[in-house]
Parts: sequence; C-alpha cells; structure tokens
Amino acid sequence: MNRAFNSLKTFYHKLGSSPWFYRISEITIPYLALFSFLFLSIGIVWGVFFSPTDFKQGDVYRIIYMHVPAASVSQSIYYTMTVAAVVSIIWRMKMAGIFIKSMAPIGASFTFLALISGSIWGQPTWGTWWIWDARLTSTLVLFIFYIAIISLYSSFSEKKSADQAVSILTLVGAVNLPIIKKSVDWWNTLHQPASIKFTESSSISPEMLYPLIISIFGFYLVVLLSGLMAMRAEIAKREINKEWFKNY
Amino acid sequence: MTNLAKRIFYKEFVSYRKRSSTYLSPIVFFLITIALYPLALSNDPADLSFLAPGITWICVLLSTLLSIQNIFNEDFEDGSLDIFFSLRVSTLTLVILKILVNWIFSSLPIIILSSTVVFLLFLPSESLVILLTSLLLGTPVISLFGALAGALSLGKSSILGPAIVLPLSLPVLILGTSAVTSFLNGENPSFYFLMMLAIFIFLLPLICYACIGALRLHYE
Amino acid sequence: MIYDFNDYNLHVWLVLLITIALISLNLIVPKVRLNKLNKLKKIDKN
Repeated sequence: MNRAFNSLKTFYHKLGSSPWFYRISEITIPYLALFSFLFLSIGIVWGVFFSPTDFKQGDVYRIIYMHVPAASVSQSIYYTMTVAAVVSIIWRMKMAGIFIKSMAPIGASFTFLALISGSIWGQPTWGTWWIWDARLTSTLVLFIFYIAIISLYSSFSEKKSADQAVSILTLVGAVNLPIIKKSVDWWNTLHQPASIKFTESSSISPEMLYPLIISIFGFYLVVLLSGLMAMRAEIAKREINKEWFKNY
Repeated sequence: MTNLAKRIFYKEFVSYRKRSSTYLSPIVFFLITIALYPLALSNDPADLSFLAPGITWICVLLSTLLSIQNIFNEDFEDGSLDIFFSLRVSTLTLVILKILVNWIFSSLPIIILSSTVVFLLFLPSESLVILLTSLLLGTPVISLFGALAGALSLGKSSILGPAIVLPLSLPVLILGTSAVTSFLNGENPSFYFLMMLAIFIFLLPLICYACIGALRLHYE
Repeated sequence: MIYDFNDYNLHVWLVLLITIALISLNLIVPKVRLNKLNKLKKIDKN
C-alpha cells in the first residue's frame, strides 16, 4: 500500500519534470500514433461507410461518428485544463502551464469541429443550421473561452505570468460554464420550447453504437497524441537554452 | 470602515469625478446604441416595447464594458498599484473599492438614464421599477467580470475584455431580462432578483481574489 | 449508401473532410514547430 502510494508520488513528481516528460513522450508517441490511427480509422470507416442506413435520417446521420466524439472531447479537454489550472496556481508547476497552453488550440479545434459538424448535420435533418438551445449555446461559449485563453496567453511576454493568467481565466471559465449552461437551458424552457427536439428519441442500435464507441476512443487517443506533440514543441521552445535540451 | 479604506475610496472618487469622461462616455454610448435599435429594426412602438427590456440590457452591458476595462490601468501606469502589491497590503480593500467607485461612475448613471427607455423604446411604464432593480442587481456582476478582464490585460489594450466579460455575463443578462418579461406576463420577478443577488454574493469574493492574483502577475 | 451523391451525402463527405483536416492540422503544426526548434538547436551546437 505504501509502495503504491510512493510510486504514485514519484510519478507525480516526474510529471513535473520537463526532461523526463520529453524523453517519455518521445518513446510513447509512435505507439500512441499507431493505436490512435487504428481506432480512429476503424471507427470512422466502419461508421461512415459500413454501418446500416438509418430509417429516419437516411445517410446524413453518419456525421454522428465525427460530431459526438468531437463534442465529447471538447468538453473533456476543458476539464483537464481546469485541473491543470488548479495545479498551476497552487503548486506553480511549469508542466501544468505548458499543458494548458498546448491543449487550448486542440480544444478549440475540436469544439469548432463539433459546432460545424452539428450545423451541417442539423440542416438537412431538422431544417436549421443553428438553434439557441442550452447545448449549442454553451458549446459556442466554450469555443469563445478557448479562443480567449489562446489570445490571453499570447498577450504576455513572460511565460510564467502567461501561465498564471491563463490558469486564472480557465478557472473562472470552469466555474461559469455550468452556470451558463443551466441558465440558457432554463431560459429555453421559459420561452417557447424548441419545436425541434435534439434529444435522441430512438435508442441507437448496436451496429451503429460499436463504431461510435471505437470512434470516440480514437478521438481521445488522437487528442492525447496531439497534446503530447504540442507539449513537446512547447517544452523545446521554453528550454531551448537549457543544458539538458542542448545535449539531448 | 478603516482609515485606509476611507482614504482609498475618497481618492478614487475624486479622481473619477475630475475626469468627466468617466461618466459621460458611458452615457453617450448608451444613448447612441439605444438609438441604433429602432433605426435598425423598426420604429413601431408595439415591436419596440416587446424588445425594450432586452435592448436596454444589451446597451447597459456594452456601455459598462466600455469603461470597466481600464479600471486598473491608470494606477498601474503611475506606479501606485506597485505600492499596494509589492507590500501585499490591503489589496482586497483596494480591488473592492476600485470596483465600487467604477460602478458608481459608469453603471449608476446609465441605470438612472435607462429610465428614459420608457419613452425611447416604449417600455411599459409599470415595469420600469423591475427593470431598474434588475439592472441594479446585475451590473455589479458585470463590473466584477470587467475588473477581472482589466486585471488580466493590465496595461495592454486588448480585445480580450469583451471576449471574457460577455460570455460570463450571459446568465445575468438572461436573468435580468427574464425578470422584466416575467413581470410583464403577470408573474412575480423576485425569483430572478434573488438569483442575481445570489450570483453576486457568490462571485464577489471569488472574482476579487482572482483579480488580486491576476494583478500580482504583473509584479513578479 | 454513402456513395450515392445525392444532396445530403455530400454533407457527410464535407464533415469527413473537415475532420481529417483539423486532426492533421493538430498533428502537423506541433511537429513542424518541434522540427524547426531542433534544427535551431543543431545549428547552435555546430
């Protein structure tokens, strides 16, 4: 029990060390790339090309294999950034700051993908490109937060202050996102309820579900992969004058 | 109130009062943006009176945005902020009082002026008190977010302010306008008022400490 | 099937295209940045 706790502690300390992270990520990235490509291609190809045609929506529903994973990933990335923000503010861990800086553009891209794919799916299926319901509005706000984080980071000349500022912004956003979501949700029930229902009224069949799960897993892996690569690039940028990097 | 707090408040108050632009520019901006809506949408009184609460709230939101962002800039530039932050003395008092004085000079005139919306946008006069109360409860929260945006982008003129303040102010906007429209539909708006008050009380310590943390960044 | 290029299936191809574009962008940009920095490091070394 004690040994497990100790190894966890050492792992946590190692996470905070850039050279260790740089070395480990270099080793794991090829395997991660392989698996993520595998899961992603199997999930998407199976889902988009080989899953059965939906009775109600025809073939357009296949966008689900890219829309749902993107939406799921976009929210999860923000949660991890919130954790990193807490670590960065309380323990001033450099790697946490690097994490936030690297993940923000990735989060923004996938939120963007979720929004666009949702719009493109919505137009033929429900007749509209957009609707101001709780989910779409809060996703749009999430996208704006990501962009704000990226632009706040770039406005600072010193990396340490940039990390702290961005952590504060991330935390404030994290506290407010549920409030925004709840208030828009509740505002929608207050005014006319949407004549267009976005909830899945039909339960999804297994032949459609399995590729979706594989695709979601693939997206998470690819986000992990992009995150590692982006963090490596950021570490290189920050530590370019350090001895350990020069002799790598 | 401690002596220091009184002195800070007095100094802030006087410095805002001296520069008339602090309360005049929000007023001008508010009136102009109010005028834009009938010109762009429709000058039919029925249409406007339906839209009036929302339009008023949006114009108030944008007008306060104008002035809240350079809340810390002047003190940062002339170095007086340094004294507070390098000595770690009374930073909370300073932040709270600054936000308060800024609110008095930028939001309060607009709130008073928004009564004219009864004429300009044909807001039903019985709902005026509700509108004013909702503004009184909601604008402090907007000021809090604006102060945070100002603290994060200290000394730089960045477009970050609106990008931070507006999304965060969505709940307050929704609650404020819902208070008025629900009153016009015959319901009791006290729920919305209590929610806005709750949000303010919840966020006040949180955002103030976030502001202090953000300001401290510039002194490391 | 999805190869019937009726109106709506173009939507699916479009989303697929955007997905591939965004994922590859998120993979290529860090790689290019890292390569540039490593090249800089090599020049510094010599």
